[in-house]
Amino acid sequence: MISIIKDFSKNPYGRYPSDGEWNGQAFRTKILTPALRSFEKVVVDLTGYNRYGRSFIDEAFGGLIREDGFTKSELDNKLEYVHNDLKSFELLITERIEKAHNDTRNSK
Amino acid sequence: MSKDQEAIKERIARKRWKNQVVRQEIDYCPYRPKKKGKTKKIVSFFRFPKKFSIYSADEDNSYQDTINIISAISRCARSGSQKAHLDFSQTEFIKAASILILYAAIEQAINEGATFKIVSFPKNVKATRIIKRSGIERLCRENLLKPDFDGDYIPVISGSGGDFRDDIVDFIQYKIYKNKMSAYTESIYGGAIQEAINNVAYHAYPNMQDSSQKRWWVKCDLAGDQLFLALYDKGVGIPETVMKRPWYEEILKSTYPELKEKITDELANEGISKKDMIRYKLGIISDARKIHISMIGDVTGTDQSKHGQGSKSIKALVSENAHGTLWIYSNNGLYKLESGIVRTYDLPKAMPGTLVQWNIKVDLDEFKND
Repeated sequence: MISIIKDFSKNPYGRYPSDGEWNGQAFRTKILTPALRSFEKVVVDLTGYNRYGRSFIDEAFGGLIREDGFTKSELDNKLEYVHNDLKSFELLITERIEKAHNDTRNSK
Repeated sequence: MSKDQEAIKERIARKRWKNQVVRQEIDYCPYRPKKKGKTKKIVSFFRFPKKFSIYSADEDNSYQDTINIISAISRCARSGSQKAHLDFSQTEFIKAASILILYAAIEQAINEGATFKIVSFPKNVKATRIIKRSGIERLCRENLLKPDFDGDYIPVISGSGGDFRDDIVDFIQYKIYKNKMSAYTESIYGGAIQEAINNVAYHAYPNMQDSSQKRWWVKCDLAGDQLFLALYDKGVGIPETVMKRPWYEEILKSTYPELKEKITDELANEGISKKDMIRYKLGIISDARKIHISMIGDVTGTDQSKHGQGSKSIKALVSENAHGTLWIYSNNGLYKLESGIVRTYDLPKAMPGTLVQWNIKVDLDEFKND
């Protein structure tokens, strides 16, 4: 179980390192991808922060397919995400993974 | 009078006449700085128009007057004026959006070496209050204004990158919504502000490497039950960015199919080769429509499909609010989204940079209903 606010930052922001230290790319490369490579099941808990930007979410989760070579079916089996107060963020992550999957498939 | 004297006189008269003919078409900006004298200290004097607003571009000259004086202020340090006096005595009507752009112009001129003094405030109390609350008076006095989020209102916030993003949402949450904002509304505000600020870093200043130089300015005010939230940058403008993107024609085809056909036909009739058509189309589409194209989901001014998240978040803030309106001024175009309907307008004079503005009705009962 990875808690974004406990294990990464209380106020994550942006897509790239140029946006600041606690960006989506940093979360993906330093925490999420290594966890997915090491464990059978990974749960990301987004609870505790209600102001995630779409860029952060897209880079952190969509980037798993675009940049780190995971497939959608791998993520469907290994990755869970939860925000106890806002289901809209869970839906957004699903949407961005789906979009990354479609874009990657179309570009092949 | 000798012949020589007559010849000299005629030569002078001829030169004067030629000069007059050459200069008669020249249109001078009324706010141009005074010429540099040998003995006098240079002080530029800016008298603000009766109506200092950008909202009625299609009704009267107030939009042009407002942009003219702001542009002149932006130039004043570069044109040699180190000291400027601002006179609002004739001004009866001021809107916060124009004050935001003015603040950015003054701050930029101060950084270039100019100093400012407000020599006269408007007679109208409301107009004076808008100026004072913006922080312009303090900026002119102190040349630097640190953001203060503890009061009941916040002056214009000047920042770069992700500066103050949570402070701005905190202010809206605690001071405007009186701590009765639902988690969902918080996420919508947080997303819109984060992504709008992000867009400045990604798109507005393509030729700048240093993130701290990519400045933006935010104004946040409550007027009655209407929350006014605006973000301004002095970058290249959305139409300039959108033109350079490979997906531009695809979106043009899906957004304005009839326009694309018409342009293609017209260019073909004019004998433009297919190879050159794309270049022509880029120039022909109005700036307002280019802004519209940039606001289509999953597409913004960067060249990868993953981008475009900003436009979705920016639109969400008004889409989720039945009384919300989104305005985007950029270069020569104005994009307006209200009740799900997009309207675009051509501006009579270019806006320097981009202004994204939301007008939202604040529903304090929302928390109970959520």
